[in-house]
Amino acid sequence: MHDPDYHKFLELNWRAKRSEAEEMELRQWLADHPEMEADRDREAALTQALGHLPDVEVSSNFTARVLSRTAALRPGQLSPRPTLWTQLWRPLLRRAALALVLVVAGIFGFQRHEVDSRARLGRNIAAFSSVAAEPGADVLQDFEAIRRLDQMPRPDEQLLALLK
Amino acid sequence: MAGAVLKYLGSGRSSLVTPADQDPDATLMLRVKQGDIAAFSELVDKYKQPVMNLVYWMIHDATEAEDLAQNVFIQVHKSAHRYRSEAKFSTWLYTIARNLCLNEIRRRSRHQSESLDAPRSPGETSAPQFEDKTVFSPPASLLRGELEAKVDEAVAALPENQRLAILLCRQEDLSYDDISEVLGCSLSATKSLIHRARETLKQRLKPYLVSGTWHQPDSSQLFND
Repeated sequence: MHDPDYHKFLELNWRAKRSEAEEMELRQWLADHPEMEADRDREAALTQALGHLPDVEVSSNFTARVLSRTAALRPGQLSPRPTLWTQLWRPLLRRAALALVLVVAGIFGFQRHEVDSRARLGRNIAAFSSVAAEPGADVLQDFEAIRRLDQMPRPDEQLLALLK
Repeated sequence: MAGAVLKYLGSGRSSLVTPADQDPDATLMLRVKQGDIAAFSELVDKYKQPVMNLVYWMIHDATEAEDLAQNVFIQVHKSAHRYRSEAKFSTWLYTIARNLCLNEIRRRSRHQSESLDAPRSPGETSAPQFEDKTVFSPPASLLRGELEAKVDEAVAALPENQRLAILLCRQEDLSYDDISEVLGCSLSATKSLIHRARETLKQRLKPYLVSGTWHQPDSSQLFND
């Protein structure tokens, strides 16, 4: 049967103890499905049988033997109850150490960024300074004469051709 | 990233913050992590019976069961540093018990197969005799009668994963989710294991499950099965 309610019904029967709500749910389901009464009885009987599996005898010195074996393995663990140091300060110090590491990492990162920025600025200045310098003032000495060259009369080209 | 860091620093991930009313055993275990032997002793006292039951019904060896059960708690102590406060203690404990039981079962099956392959001595003419592990006779003190013997036999005959599922289902403090965590499989697979185990047990114990109560069947029902 693939009815999900049927699976729910089975699961309710698997446990010996049920809550009040589960008990009511089971009774309601059985009231709606009276043909499942025999199934329910078998499930209940099996759960009861499994519950009757007897407890295995545990020796009276079981705990003492466990403690003894534990002590033999790790003698350092036999410490008294934890102190204020272990309970309070150690966790706080751990967090403080982590915070300090993060702050140092942040400062280091910022300084690195500053250094990189300055290096980039220096490179830009060097590139700018390599541009060819402005010509000196002496090149402007014959400036007026050169400018008037353009205003002089044009040569007589016909006369020049006859003279050839 | 800064947000994640601040969340960690401000979080309650401290051994002092776990509320005792959620899982008092978890509180005890956190004290064990810090070396509190009294807390460890309290946990051993509380769980020695259920652990012993589980181990015994898994390996079916009264002599070895107590030793193995002690090993479970030794392992709990050795692994205390790995215990997380969010984890339910009983689930963690039964997971350790399960692992040790399965290791022991594997070790026994390997040892048995190695013995079978061992060369015979010159004077030995017949095959060596080995104890039939499938027909187990538990100590008489454990059995109150034929009915308990039948249940014991039927449970012992289950495949180990079904057997474990059935035994864990008996622990009232474990939900189906807890059981699936111990078994290391999904919730649906866990329920399937329990269902199959119970169907097998019902078949094997049919004469005893006629009515809703556990009873001694009459002889006609036994022979008709």
